[in-house]
Amino acid sequence: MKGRRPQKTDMPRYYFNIRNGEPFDDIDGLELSGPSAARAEAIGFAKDLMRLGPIRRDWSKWSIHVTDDSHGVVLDIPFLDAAEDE
Amino acid sequence: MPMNGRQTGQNRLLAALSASDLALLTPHLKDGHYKQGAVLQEPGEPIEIVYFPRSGMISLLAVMEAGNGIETATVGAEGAVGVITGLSGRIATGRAIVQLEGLFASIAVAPFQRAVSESSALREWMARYNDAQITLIYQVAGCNALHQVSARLCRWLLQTHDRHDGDVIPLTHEFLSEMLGVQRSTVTMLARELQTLGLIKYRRGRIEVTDRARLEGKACECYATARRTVDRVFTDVGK
Repeated sequence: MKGRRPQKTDMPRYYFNIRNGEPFDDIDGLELSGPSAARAEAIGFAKDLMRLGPIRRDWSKWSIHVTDDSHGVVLDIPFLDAAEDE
Repeated sequence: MPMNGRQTGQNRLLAALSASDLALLTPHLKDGHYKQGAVLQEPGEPIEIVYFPRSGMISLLAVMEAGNGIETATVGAEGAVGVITGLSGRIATGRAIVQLEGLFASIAVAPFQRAVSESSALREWMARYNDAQITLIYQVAGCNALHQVSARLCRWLLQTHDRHDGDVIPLTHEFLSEMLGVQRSTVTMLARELQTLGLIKYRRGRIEVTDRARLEGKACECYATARRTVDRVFTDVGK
């Protein structure tokens, strides 16, 4: 993984990690306009996993931890909260 | 095995036409180079041009009111986009976007319609291809609803690999997320899984196919079905 960015932009990069459930560490991240875009991406990611994964899975412990380049957790979205988000 | 005509820049549909049918189109065909991301058709808008790729790939997308969409077919050098205008309709039902840059022969709708009206054989070829395209769209509709997203990604990578020279395919997560109808983070996770299995290597903006045979093993049946559907256009002539 070179991880070279195709172009430099001023947008912050966010990383979408799965915690609990089946952990996934996002080492690539996405450049997004800000926290609200990151929140929307996290909710969409959780919804994708619930929609695309096995039907009868208990998602109650799963969550998306969103981090930024300073490696702080900027958002923590439990899957079941994402499910209720329209 | 690459789709026919990739190396020569030949379009399989045009190549199948008789000399006299091709002669009806040739004076109006223009070759042009189209870049990744170029939008050729928008849903609800009149189709102005019919495209016959000689290389590269076009994706057809269903677009929802909120603007999100999902891919319903891929078209490479074996086919065309917009042939429906030679049969009936004039309004695009979906978005057509260049997925892999390439050389496309194009013809404006008016001379295309004139040519088709002058030759029943030409019209028959366009109808045969159009029928196949509808079959492909049915298949993908089922695929999108029934098959695991990972298998769909493998299918899509194979279809793209077929239309691309070399193993390193320029693809952004944004494109892939639009094709598969999932978030970009979901694409990241799926790509990582395939990379861990040794099937691909990915970097931002590109995906390298490293084990094509195993990628075929992971793809859903729709990859092989789509190839057969296209092949039948050219092999079952007269049936």
